[in-house]
Amino acid sequence: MTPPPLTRKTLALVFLALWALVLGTTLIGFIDLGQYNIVVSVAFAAIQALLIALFFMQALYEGRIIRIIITGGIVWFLIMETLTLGDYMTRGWLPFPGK
Amino acid sequence: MQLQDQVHIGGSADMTIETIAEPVRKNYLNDKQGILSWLLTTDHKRIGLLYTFSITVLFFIGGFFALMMRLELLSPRNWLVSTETYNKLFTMHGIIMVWFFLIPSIPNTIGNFVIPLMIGAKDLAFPKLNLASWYVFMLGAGVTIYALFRGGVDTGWTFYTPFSTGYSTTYVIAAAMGIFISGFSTIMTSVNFIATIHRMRAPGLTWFRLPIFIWSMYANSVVLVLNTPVLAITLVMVAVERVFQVGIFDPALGGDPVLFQHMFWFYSHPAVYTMVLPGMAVISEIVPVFSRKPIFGYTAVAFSSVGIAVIGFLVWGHHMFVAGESVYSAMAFSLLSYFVAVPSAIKVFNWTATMYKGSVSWDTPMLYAIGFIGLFTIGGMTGLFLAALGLDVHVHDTYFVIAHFHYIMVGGTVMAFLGAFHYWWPKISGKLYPEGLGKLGAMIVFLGFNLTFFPQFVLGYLGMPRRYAAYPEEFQMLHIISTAGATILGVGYILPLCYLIWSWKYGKPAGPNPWRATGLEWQTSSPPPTHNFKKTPVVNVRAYDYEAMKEQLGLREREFENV
Repeated sequence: MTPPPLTRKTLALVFLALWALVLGTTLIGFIDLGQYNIVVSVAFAAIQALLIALFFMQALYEGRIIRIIITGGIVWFLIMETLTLGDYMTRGWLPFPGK
Repeated sequence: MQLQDQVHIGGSADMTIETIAEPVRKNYLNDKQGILSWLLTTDHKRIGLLYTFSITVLFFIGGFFALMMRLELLSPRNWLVSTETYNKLFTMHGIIMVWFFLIPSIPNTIGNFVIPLMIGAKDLAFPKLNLASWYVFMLGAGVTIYALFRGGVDTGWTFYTPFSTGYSTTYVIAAAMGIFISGFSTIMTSVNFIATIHRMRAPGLTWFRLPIFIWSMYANSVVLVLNTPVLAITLVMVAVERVFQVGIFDPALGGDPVLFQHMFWFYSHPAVYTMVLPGMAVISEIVPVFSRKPIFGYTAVAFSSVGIAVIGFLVWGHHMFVAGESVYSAMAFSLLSYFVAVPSAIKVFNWTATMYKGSVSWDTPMLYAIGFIGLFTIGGMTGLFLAALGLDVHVHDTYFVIAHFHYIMVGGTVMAFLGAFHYWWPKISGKLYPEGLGKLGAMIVFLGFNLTFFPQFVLGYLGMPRRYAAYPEEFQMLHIISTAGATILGVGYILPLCYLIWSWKYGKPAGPNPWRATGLEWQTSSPPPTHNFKKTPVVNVRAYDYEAMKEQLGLREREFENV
């Protein structure tokens, strides 16, 4: 197997980007954006995960089957999130008897 | 036997499997000698046997706990063990049986042994990883046994919070750590199977020529790779909350206990399918062989495994109908739970259709297979009862649930496990087991199983809750019947263990293909040589081509007569 075309410079840049995003996540905790705090935090976390998968796990340089499997993993995670949050978001739709 | 050797080289005139099933003196059992040759082996067949030994020991440990529970339940009042000990008995029974028997039972033993043989490969893709998975499994089992000897765990195998994180004074973290470690072993084996099935199939062995066993094991491995990490992180969170009092699941700390149930069952419901999919894999092999027919609806059966794997991930919420889950969410999960019955039913109908007008023989593996089909159908149908929102409220956490999942896991998986060992035993050991005792064992298991678990449906419907050591007197007769059945079941499990061990030394030589089956594993000698085949097989026929074999058999018999 040929080694992936990852240079030290690329890895260093990704590493710095990850730390910048950690810093961003921390700083956003001190700013009150209302309901958007969680949106921004999750977005930062998603970008971090994406960078790790693409560069550190070398998904960017892998073949079709590996990419399909990675996508499958993400889809499965989203299924868990969607159906779990579906429970929490719909709990208040029906009034409690007597209240 | 000479005739059989000639017949089963190929299934049809144009089949070009270039392996000759001639007797081979050197085989995987006698190629190397000494204990180290086993402990350091990278041969998938030997590792399969290492797993078989370990899992059998663990099965009997888990079975001992079950027997203790059944003895305790002979009387409505506590007479044998304290209520605390009873809690530990059902917890350790569940933990050992689920993670250290059922999940690895068929894949890591039979799967390890036959997958490379079935696809014409010399070994699994990563032989060292395979050996490492056994050591990791043993480490996980060792840590769990440590928890047991230190006093056990009393949370139930489900580790429900906040009891497990805040209130239980037993060895929760040690048991969870054992399971966490064994998860790595599961992932290692699954990755190995996926890579092997993708990359190491014999020339000509396309996806739609594969035995259904391979399809099911592939689907099973994908499910395990996707869901095991969720269990791992959930158990880590239990440990973090228990040790550091970080509020994740405990409401007193600001957590949410239902979140634990979501995460746990996102793993554990698909895990139920990872217990039964390998069982289905075995039945899909046994039924065509002993019906002398290709499996009915090959494509539908193959894709039903994938369907079970996918839909199995969408139904976990049916475990939480009475746990505070939203009504809308519960309705969605109820509907999705019905859907999973569809691919399961496809399999049952197609196995039955395979037998229809087949030349069915009642050998021991077939008895286990037919037992599986009946018991799995009862287990599956009662699963639909539990998927129905209203009925589930009535029978939730009762013996009805216990009976339902034992019909799937014991009536299904354990029957398939025993069927698999009888079917592939001649290949594994090179010897035939005593067929009469085999049939007797299968019938004892079937009788004992039904006597144990059918009364539990009635008990549950009448309102007997699970996990109680004491109960009202009106339930006693049903409990006594159940305990009597468990004793018979115990005899049914010990009997095959005895005669299989006996046959290892004293059984008649099996020859390469005693069942006259079509799979590649039957084209090599029994026991197989270390590298499985003298030459890499080339395949250009579909699986289970018994029609072609029949034609060829007729031809060979005539040739034989003419000689």
